[in-house]
Amino acid sequence: MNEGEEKFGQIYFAVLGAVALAFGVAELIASAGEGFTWGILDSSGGADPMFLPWRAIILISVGFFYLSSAKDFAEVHQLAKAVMGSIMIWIVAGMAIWSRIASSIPGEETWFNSLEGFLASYAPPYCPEMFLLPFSLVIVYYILKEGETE
Amino acid sequence: MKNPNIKYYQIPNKSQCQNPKKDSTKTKGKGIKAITIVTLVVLMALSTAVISVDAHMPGAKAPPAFELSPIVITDNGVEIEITVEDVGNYHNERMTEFKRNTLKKQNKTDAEIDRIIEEEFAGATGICPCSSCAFRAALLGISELWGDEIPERADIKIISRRPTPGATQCLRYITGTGPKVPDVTSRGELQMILPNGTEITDLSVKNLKKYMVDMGLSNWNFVIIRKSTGDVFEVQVKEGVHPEGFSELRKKVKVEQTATPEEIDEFRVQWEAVRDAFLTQPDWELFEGVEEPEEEEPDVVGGAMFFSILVIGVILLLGLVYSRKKAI
Repeated sequence: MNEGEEKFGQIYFAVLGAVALAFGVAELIASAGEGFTWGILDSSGGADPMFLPWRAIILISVGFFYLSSAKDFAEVHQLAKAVMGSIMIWIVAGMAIWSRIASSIPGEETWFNSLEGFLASYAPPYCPEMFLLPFSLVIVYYILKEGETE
Repeated sequence: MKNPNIKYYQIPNKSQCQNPKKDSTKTKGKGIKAITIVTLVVLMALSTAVISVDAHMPGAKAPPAFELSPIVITDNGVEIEITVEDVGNYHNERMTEFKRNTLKKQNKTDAEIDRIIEEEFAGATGICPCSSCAFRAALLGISELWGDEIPERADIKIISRRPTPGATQCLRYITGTGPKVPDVTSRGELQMILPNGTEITDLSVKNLKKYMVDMGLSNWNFVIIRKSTGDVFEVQVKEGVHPEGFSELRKKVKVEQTATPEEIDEFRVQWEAVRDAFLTQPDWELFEGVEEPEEEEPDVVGGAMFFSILVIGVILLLGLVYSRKKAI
């Protein structure tokens, strides 16, 4: 990993960590009430209200992992923190995506959903982890880079 | 000296009355007396019959299964849930009590009274078109004026245009202004102002009966007021809710008592239909000015975009794994 890549990683994951932390705090506050839905962002916990506070704690942890990995980003232990944060996002987002896939196949009163119903079940709003998912994939580049170095 | 401008009638004396027509006159007098007594008894019976039919509809079928939210209010901070069944029971109790008092005045024995009440109120739930309409109107008005807040009973004022025991007793129960309403420590306000502007202050069944003769669509109207803010919401029943000729038939069956058995049967069917409508239909189908909530169209485009990204992401991931494997 060269100096430029390290600098970029530092800034990138510091910003991503701050965003994850903000989402986590917002979800934690929302979980005290009935949650909220703002545009395409869903923190209502409509699907599973019991999971909402857990999701908030996971997001706050992700934020701390990313933020704490920003210093000496090229160092393997620091990079591991960023990897850990990303894996946490993948697990929660993966669950959310899987739940959509599973619910999109059966119809309400028929065995299989219509094409319209199938596509509509992937429509917004989405939970914060799903927004963070594509940005968290950047860590794969650094993992590969680290593998090449070794 | 007799005044020529005044007509004088000669009262027959005792001797003059003793004529051959004596027996027939006596019989005539007895007949008139008997007719008068029978007429009085029939009139009394009719008056009680009118009231009893107003309280419920004998022979009416039970309402279908329905789901109605309760009206939630607070009374000096204590939360109270009022269901349409509570209102119906209260209406039934009040009408039973009224009937009992009326029968007592007719010198009926307690056993007779119990039997009559048992017969007339058998199966009556008290949920009639008037009580269910008033309940729905209050439910709608409160949700429009207070939203998610729970109103304090003393903050509720209702103006009713419907002078029937069903609607009146329902609203007296909600506002806590009626006799024997449970859990009342603070009272709201209920005013009865007819569409012609007449205000009725005596809300007893006996008095209401005088105003129940000619009623039309304008009587299916209630005004709910949030006293603390002065906000007002008027609830007017839509024209199509009642079958055509419902008011006329009601008058014929309940007031004039001139309906044929077929007309009574027809009215019973209409009565059930109106009651069921108020118990089962949504607000926008019952009341003026309530808009049907728009059904959200499924966001197929948004879903398709996300699904495409998901598929592309999975393909890229598989490609990455494959290329890494090949490199190793």
